[in-house]
Amino acid sequence: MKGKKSGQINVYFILSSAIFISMVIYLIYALVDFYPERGQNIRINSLYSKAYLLSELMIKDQGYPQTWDENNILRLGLASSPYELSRVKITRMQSMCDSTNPAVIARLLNSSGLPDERMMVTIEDLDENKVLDCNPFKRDYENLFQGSRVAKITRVVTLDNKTVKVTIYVS
Amino acid sequence: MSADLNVKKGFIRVLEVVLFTFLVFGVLMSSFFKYSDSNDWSGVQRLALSHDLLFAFEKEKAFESVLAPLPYSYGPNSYNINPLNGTTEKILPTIYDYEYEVKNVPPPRISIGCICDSYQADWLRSILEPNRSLYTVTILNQGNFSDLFQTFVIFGGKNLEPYRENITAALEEGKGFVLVSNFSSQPDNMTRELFGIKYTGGSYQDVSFRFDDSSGTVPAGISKRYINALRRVRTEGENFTGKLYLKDRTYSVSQVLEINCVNISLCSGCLREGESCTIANTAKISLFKKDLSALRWIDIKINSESQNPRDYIFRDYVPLNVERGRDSLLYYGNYAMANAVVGGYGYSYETEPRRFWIYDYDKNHDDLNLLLKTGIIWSTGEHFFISRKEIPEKRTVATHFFTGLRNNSIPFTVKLYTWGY
Repeated sequence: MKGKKSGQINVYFILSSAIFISMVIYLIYALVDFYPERGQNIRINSLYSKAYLLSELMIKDQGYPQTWDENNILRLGLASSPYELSRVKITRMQSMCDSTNPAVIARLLNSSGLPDERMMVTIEDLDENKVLDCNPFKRDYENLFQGSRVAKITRVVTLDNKTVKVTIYVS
Repeated sequence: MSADLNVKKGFIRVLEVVLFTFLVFGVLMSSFFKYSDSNDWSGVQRLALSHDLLFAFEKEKAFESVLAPLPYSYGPNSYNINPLNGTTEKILPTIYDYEYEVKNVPPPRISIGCICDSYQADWLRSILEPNRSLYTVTILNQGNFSDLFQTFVIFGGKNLEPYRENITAALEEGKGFVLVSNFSSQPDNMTRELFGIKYTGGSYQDVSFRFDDSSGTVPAGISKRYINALRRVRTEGENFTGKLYLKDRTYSVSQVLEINCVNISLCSGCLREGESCTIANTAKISLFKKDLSALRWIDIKINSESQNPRDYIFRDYVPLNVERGRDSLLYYGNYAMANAVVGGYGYSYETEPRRFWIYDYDKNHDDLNLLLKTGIIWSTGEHFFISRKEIPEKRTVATHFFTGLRNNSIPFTVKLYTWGY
């Protein structure tokens, strides 16, 4: 029987070290690969939540004050009663969206609860005629949302006793 | 040798650590991925759209134009589902299919199995007129009992024990049953079980009966349907005259050709469509529609003349020998004249069978005919699918409660099923 020589590495040790190091590398890879995706998911979930919240305000709430205009608006809302839009409020919102005054646009974004997001709102009837086309950033869709993920929520309500679609984009 | 053994043990320890790490990581990863899966906003969007659509339909009263369109029309084409489908298809993404389920509104087609003779079947057909639904009445025997019928009408004091197996199978499918029968002795067990009848025996008396609005929701529901249902009164001869029999009195009816209205005795004024008159201590009569071409009929609604139109009082000479129960619809003192029973078989709400029983039915009485008609329609279950598509198990359901159609105050439910391909 021979004794073990000093400095000689056992084959089991090499094997186990290799497995252990492989495992560590795999875990690091999996985490590095996984977390950015999760981060994106968190971000897109947050955007959808904001878009959904805004859609709820727009179709169910009258806004604050109830007879808001571009000078006193604190909370955006387009409904005269839940699921029934007010044409007067749609006209006022369109006017704010079309404004070139940065203060008015800032008030609109603040009142919608999205001061730091890019957003667009459209309202159209079932024949795709636009009743509201709100694009406060004055850029086309591709330009506005280029390279970023967009949350899109569509809701259905009535306007003058007809069904219309409200679509909200938030990025 | 012992050093070699230690190295091997170390190797096994490393393997254990690796395996354990894999296990822990596997468990954690599944929860991470589960989080990732929750990012399915298309499902949220679909559900939100479905609910919105039903709310929007309520706002614009879309179901009135689908389920009760005006002008009132009779027969299978009276339900116009095209606008409903048109709107839904424009709202839902094309990858989704859908189906509407309606509860508490009579279906467009009603198939009735009748345990009766041909004369009684013909009579049934005549009292069911007019209606939006298309009715078919088929005479049944034990051989042709079928689940194609929505409700079964039984005339006379037949022994239902031989039908027990058929009846039980029909009940399991939520089918309705209507019994038109008097009793001079204890009915068979099947009849008692089915209609909740407790026979006690008794004697003939002159009594009044009323809708029992105070106890339970089922009788109140029948009275709401009663005051909205239509009774057709025939007019004939050169003067286009007919009879209206309410409570224990007969009233003459005549159509006045020159001024396009209807005279009813003891009713002040000549009635045009949409107008009402009150016969003191009897009823409020509303003329709903008249036969403009041949003047052979008028369609009326019968309400109570009191403050609550549902408190209609029926009057008849009735043998008081059936004990009043929780489900009694018409009653006098402790005795029942009509029962309306729903549930009791432990099925889901949509499939709970409805049973209706009427005592001392007199085919000459217009108010009792209207009550029988109301009971038959109610017993159908008032439940149908608009497009009759096959709904897969994996689907999204949005439910909405509507307060009624054209102010009839009869709440109904619409479920919108959506599923993707």
